Amino acid sequence: MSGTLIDFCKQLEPTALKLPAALLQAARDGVEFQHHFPTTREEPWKYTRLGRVAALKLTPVNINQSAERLPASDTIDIIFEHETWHCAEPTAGLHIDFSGDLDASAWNACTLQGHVQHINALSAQGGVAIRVDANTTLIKPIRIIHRLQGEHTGLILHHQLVLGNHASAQVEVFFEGTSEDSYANVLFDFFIGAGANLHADMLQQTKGTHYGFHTQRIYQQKDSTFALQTLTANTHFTRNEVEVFSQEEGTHTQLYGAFIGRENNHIDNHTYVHHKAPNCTSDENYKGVLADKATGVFNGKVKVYQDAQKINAYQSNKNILLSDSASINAKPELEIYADDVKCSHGSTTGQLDQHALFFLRARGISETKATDMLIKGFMAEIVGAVKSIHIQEALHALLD
Amino acid sequence: MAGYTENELAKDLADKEYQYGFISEIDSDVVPPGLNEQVIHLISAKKNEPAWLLDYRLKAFEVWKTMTEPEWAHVAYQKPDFQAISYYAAPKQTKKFESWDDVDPEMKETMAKLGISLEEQQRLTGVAVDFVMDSVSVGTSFKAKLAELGIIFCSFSEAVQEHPALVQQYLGTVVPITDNFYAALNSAVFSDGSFCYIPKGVRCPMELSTYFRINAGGTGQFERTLVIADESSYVSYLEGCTAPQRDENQLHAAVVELIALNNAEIKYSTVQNWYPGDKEGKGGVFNFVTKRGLCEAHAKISWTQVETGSAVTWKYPSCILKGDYSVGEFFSVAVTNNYQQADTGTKMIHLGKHTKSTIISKGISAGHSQNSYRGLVQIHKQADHARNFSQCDSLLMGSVSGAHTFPYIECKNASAQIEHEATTSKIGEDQLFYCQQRGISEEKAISLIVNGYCKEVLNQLPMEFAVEAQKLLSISLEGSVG
Amino acid sequence: MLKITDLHASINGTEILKGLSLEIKAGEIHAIMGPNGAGKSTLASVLAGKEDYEVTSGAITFEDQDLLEMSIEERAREGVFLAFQYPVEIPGVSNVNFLKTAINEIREHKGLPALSAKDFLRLVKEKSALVDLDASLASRAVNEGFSGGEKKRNEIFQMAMLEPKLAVLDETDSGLDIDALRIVASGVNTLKSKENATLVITHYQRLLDHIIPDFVHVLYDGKIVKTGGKELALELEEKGYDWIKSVE
Repeated sequence: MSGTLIDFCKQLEPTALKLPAALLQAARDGVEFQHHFPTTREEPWKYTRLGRVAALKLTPVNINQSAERLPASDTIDIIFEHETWHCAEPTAGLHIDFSGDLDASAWNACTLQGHVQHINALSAQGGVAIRVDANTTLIKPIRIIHRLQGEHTGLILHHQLVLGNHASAQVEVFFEGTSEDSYANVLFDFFIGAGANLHADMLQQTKGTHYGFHTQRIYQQKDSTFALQTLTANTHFTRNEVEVFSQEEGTHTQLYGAFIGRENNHIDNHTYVHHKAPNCTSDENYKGVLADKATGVFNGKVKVYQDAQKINAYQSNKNILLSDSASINAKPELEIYADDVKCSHGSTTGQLDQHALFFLRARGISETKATDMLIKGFMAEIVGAVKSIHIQEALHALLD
Repeated sequence: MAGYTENELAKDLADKEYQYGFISEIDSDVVPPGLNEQVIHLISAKKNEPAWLLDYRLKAFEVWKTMTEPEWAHVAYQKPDFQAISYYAAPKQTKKFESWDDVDPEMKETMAKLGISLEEQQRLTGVAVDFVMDSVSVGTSFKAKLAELGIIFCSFSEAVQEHPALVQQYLGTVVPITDNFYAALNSAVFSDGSFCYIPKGVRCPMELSTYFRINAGGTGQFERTLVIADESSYVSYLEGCTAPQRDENQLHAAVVELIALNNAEIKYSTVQNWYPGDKEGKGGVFNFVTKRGLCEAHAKISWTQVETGSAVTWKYPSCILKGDYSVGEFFSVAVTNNYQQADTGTKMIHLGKHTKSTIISKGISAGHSQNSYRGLVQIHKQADHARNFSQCDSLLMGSVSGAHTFPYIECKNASAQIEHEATTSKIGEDQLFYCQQRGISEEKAISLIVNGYCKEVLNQLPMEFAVEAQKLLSISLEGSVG
Repeated sequence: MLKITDLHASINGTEILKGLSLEIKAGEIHAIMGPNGAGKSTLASVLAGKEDYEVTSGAITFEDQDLLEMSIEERAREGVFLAFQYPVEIPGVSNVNFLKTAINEIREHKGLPALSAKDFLRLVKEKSALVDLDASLASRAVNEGFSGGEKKRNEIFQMAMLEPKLAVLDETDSGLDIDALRIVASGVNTLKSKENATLVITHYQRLLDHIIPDFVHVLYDGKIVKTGGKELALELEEKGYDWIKSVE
């Protein structure tokens, strides 16, 4: 493989964030140790080739911040466009900061895993730090839009969302625009306080030969609830890594996802739920539809630690292949070290229900329309879990 | 907990002594430990092998030297020192047995302890047994009867002498020497094993059976089995394994190749209860086996395994579904206890159109054991209308055991239909309570429930084997209540 | 036969039975009625020895032995049978195998030899006819894929096979249509003798039209608040449980 990870990072600028020295050192060591981009011989990258990523010629994005406030709307908007952050006025109990000076206490909980996170730590140019005070229920959803553009851009962001105890919030995140031969590495850290509740919907629909690496790390405290819907539509290359650390009793985690791939899109979803505490539940449901020469990957892992009894973990992955050149690689894993648990997973792959298709066509519906209807039906479970009205609308437009 | 505590369960499982732990005192003709070209020449010469087979071994040895032991399995163990192993041990009996009476009485006693007295089996069950003690086959029965039908069932060495063309044609065609570290090692040093050929259109009238045993201390066991079912033939093959108790770990790296030509069917059943090590995790057999079958058009290969033994198991009986309409099946029960580690499963490689595979795996982990299912379902681009169904269930007994599921599903064809389900849970407390309320002891209740849980797999075994397997399951879980 | 004295029992720290006393003699049929949450099923579970329930004080003797000292299966072998409200499914374990194991464990406990296959099958045939249970159900896995009615009939069939001294029927009528109810009741009545006793736990009176109790007890808030003859059941049916609450 061509360049080393160090060469890759050299194209970007050193991080603008004030990382603790130990984390920064861990990232440096990680990059040095890994040396090259991982190959398909390495388990986490078994089905995703990084040759094209390693060969990208990148220029870093200079991030500015607009002094003007965005007008108020039905969401609290945070928009990244033309290398600039624009932000609406926060409501009571909500704090939004772009200074790159993220919550120091939150850093301590972080660990770094893999080259994507290492690159992020070494080269993050900024990010949004959002804090919701304890006992605050945000009425309006927070909407974060990343509007990508240009060629050969390397955008590295590290966002943080800290939800105080018994706070409640809804977030919607967008990745859109058109960008060619570009790289984005965007990491979200979600810290969910005790009894807090966060609902997050994410839509990825960047056009062009863009290589998107998305990492979400979720740290859940006692009795907290976290729901994430990840929707990826027709992106050239997307790798999603969601890692949940259920650290205390009584947490509930919901991870839903839908991915639609066309042409030679490559969409890879990796999830990893760590059940470290007893009496928790997790529910995972990912659905993929792949057409043309698209490839999809689903790798879901649930690990139940030895003292984490009474865990109820469920994982489902269903895929539809619409063309003989499309392919899917699924790997639903369970790693269980506690005995009093109920864990299950299911995975199916197939084509659209041919009987249903025939039935619809017999009623005079064209094959294309019937196919669309069935795909919409297949995705309904996931789309239905999305709370963001904007994302709902975008999806309906996409699926119709 | 209803009726029993995890601690009691763990303790009692640990105290269970290995039933087949004994060492028979038969003089062995042992090659000094170590592996080099001389040793391979020696093995080949001792067995009076043709030049092509020596070349095959040497080529495998060259390949093996460049390979490293696989690390990906969910097992941890002290890697064997391959230079400390003796690669050939033959009982010091050069004379071929003309009749069963000629066999060393002590060897017969060994078999009796295993509960597989050859006379008994011959008389009562009509099973033809090719008994492998260490490395050399010592008794083959029913040969004449099988010969009438043109069936060849003999030791591998004998096949090399008597049917070299068949061996040369098929050896290494399903498991090439480059396949993996242990397969390469086996190809270089295999000592003996079984060979079976069923001619066209012949339905083998009896279950063919081999009992393997590791006997001499410090000797590795490198079995080589080759089963060829010619067009439209059928054979059911049983493999049973027990090993006597030893303190040092023993390596077992077998290779089994099955070839099912057009319309043929092979049913391969294994009951494996090699010495699993003591309750501290000391000793026990390392079982690193490569088993694979190739199906031509309309052929079927069915693997059934009941695994209760070995300290470390690394085993994936697989099917290459090459021909259109071919069928692969895998039925497995794996029980681990104490410090046992098992990483087992299957690979179903769908190449042909309308190919079908079924995977039913039941894992039971107790004590400090780790039990993993690892499986691959691969649908290739040209494999139109392929189907797979997989069901992997894990049962946990005891809070310090682990149960893991690592299925890989790779699909490159839109007309394929793949379904995979897996569950992990503890033994049902309400089921235990129900049984106990009817007067059944906890121990028996566990045995009942576990046997019921494994039913789908046990049902696949031939009758006499199923009984033995059920007994083994009960023994493994015996005394699980204080 | 059975004597319960001032029984207090709780689950997860919540007290459900709060001083329940009851005596049942051989040859008698007792009915316990009460509103939801009164502790009816708790009583059945405590009698059978379910370990989720903790007996905090009080005593239960069965045939002059301390029942609380016995394990679940000892109680069963001594002759306590619980017909479950929700019979459990045990996949892969055939009804026949299950019952044969149970019968022979009980016989061993009593110092009797194991039943021969022939005698066992004869018994199965005879007793399954009693509850009109299709013989094919006997070879199926325990309760797996059984309808609600089949499960309940299977419970009575097992009771017939095991011949207990004390049968505790926990809400056996729930989920049964009238025909199934009649079959179950006639099974219970046929099995009745001077040597055994039956404790019927029910929410509704309708089962008691078919199984005529000698005594009816009303359980409310963990205690027996009223005892009477079979007419008490009718009175309850007419006036409802609120009547009891007002009596309280």
